[in-house]
Amino acid sequence: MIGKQEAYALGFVTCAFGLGSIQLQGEAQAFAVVHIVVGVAALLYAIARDVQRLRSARRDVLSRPVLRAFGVLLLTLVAGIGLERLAASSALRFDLTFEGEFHVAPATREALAELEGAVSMTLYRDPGDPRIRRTRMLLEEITRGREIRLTTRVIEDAPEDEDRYGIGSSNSVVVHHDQDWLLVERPTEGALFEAFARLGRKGDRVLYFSTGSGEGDIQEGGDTGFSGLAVGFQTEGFDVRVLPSPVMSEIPSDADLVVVLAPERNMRRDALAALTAYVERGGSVLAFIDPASESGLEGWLGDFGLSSPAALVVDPVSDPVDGEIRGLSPIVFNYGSHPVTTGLERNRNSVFRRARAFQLRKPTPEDRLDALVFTSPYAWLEHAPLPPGLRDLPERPASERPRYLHLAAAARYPRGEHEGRIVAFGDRDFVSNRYLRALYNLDLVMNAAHWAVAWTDRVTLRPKSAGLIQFPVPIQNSMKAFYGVGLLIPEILLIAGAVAWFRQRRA
Amino acid sequence: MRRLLSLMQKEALVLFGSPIAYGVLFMVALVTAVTFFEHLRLYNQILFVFASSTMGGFESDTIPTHVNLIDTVFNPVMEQLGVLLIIPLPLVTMRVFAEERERGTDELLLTSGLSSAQVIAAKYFVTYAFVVLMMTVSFIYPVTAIEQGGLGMKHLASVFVGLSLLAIGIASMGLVCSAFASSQVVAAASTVAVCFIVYDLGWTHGFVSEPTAIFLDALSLRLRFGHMAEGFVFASDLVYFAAIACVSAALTRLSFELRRALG
Repeated sequence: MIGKQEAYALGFVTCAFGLGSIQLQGEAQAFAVVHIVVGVAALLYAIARDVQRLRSARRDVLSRPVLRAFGVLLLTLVAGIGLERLAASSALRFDLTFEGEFHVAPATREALAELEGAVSMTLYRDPGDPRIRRTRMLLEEITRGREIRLTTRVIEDAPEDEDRYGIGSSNSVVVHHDQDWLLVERPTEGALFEAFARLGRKGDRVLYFSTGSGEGDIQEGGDTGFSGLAVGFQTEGFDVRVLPSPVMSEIPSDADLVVVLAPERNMRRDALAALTAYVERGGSVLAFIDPASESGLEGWLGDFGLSSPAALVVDPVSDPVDGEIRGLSPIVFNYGSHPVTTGLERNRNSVFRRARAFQLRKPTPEDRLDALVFTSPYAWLEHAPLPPGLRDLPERPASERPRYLHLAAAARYPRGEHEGRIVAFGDRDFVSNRYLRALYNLDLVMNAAHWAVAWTDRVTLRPKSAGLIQFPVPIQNSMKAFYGVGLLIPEILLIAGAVAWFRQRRA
Repeated sequence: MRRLLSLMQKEALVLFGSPIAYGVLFMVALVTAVTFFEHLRLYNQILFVFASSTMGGFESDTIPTHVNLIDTVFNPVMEQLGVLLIIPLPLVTMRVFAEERERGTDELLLTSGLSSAQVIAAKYFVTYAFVVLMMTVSFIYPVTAIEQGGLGMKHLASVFVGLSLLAIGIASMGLVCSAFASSQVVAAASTVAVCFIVYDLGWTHGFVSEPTAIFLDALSLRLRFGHMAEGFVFASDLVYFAAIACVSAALTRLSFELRRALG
């Protein structure tokens, strides 16, 4: 007969092997069943022996010290559980991740708060997918403090969901809002924010893209296209429509905002007159102009006090971007104080590609014109065309003095009961598919649109993808460290262990 | 207080007079260094393959997001070391109470003028100090390597805290087993088995109801230190490990009183 102590050890060990087998196999096979049965039997035997012993010595067991120790144990257990639950509900935590990866942006919380009704999220995974833990933590962080059902399902176990939602890979999230749902295949915070926004923000404001005069193409999905901009506006709650400028004689009455993306051909006088009339009666325009073209839009903006000389901005402090020579792609970090630039500080850059600058002069004393984005104080205007094959920063012409230049401006034009608004940008490439999501470009243009339609409560900073550490750790140094401290320390410990063993034997 | 310090000193001397403590320190330090170095080498290799401009079809800025220091080095190292700690730590904790009982010196200890709570506090303190020393020694190499890379030190600190707390959790269970067992072997075997069961209960999700699964998740060691692998130190996780230590100490005291009562 085995002793009580051995029975406990046997019980724990065989139970552990049985449960481990179930964990590995995913089901209880004969090996697991036999182990668990033997383990439970051994534990029951040991417990029975203990109970028998305690019953025979009941008076001793019920002594004050034992009861006190038992009381302390119960109290500790209750206090531990209570404190753990309290700490869990306080959600207090220390974020030691690289660049605060799990700090949820206010925009995400706001977009989620706008989802009225039942919201649930399901994370679909393959077993062993290492990304799931992080995604799960992100989802928990986003839904913290809100009654949102969060579930995780193995794709293999849910073939009907796979077909219904078109789940293509592990680490996909389906967000449900009442009867609607959206699949997020790369569940970063930015992608989830967009899903919440698209589910909760239906086209409340009508936005027209002017087309037909060589404006940026919102159907084009390539790097130089602007499909991302159109999708961005839809995500932010705009009902995006198209307005052909060659036949435009009047802006539709339902238009809340007109976007003119740097036409490459001349815009018709009627179209420009329609825009003027629209602004005069309280309409809003987002206008983009490019150094490479003169379409009449530049003159139209000039009539509203936003004149722009036909010259290229050169900002020598901006490093080369995408193969472009230094200074021609201004990386800006100076923002004017304006609702559009709320939250954009010196450490939040935007990047422009070959831009032109604005000079601001109020057409009437009541108007208000504000510069939104400035270059560095070392920038100048290059009036002459750049020589082909230029490989380095062009020399500053003697006639040009270095100064702050305005790359974007916002203007208000009170006219009787109405107030027209224009936001002008001296570049359109910065909102192309390639650059829209670079740095804070998206925030700048979306906040400009929200301000233009007086939707200022939607001015915010959108979530950015957390920076991953993808830099090499110098392997030569790492190897030196490994053969140094990495192996030296275990060696010393082994020698110390051997000395201790010899001493013990001698003693 | 002097008696308490003397007991701690005696415990530390006994611990470091035994080759087992050095063996455990050697094993954990070596495995940590080798595992960390291997993952770091692999990470550099993968990074080089993707970033290399000589690779046709790859641009230098198209390194997949899953190739990063956290997912390729920190997380797998932490997972492997987490499981590894279940084996050597019971070898250290098994003797703390069970050895005294085997030799019959436990009664002597209780007549030394120290209360059972003080004896338990001294033994727990020395064991936890050993655990922290073991993790510190093991992390000298990872810290040196990451410091040269210049990034991720904060995250590595989180990994260190996670593994240290996990080790303290395992040691606490080991001390309870040692307190209840008369034999060191029984104590060590029980500790390994109990820790293995409690390590990860996530696999039960397919067999139990959702509330039960949530409850079991809350008990799992792996889920708790897993948060720290991600660079997040939750107050609730710190309280969880503190609670394990306190409940273990209370159980140990109950075992003392039961033994006294039963003779």
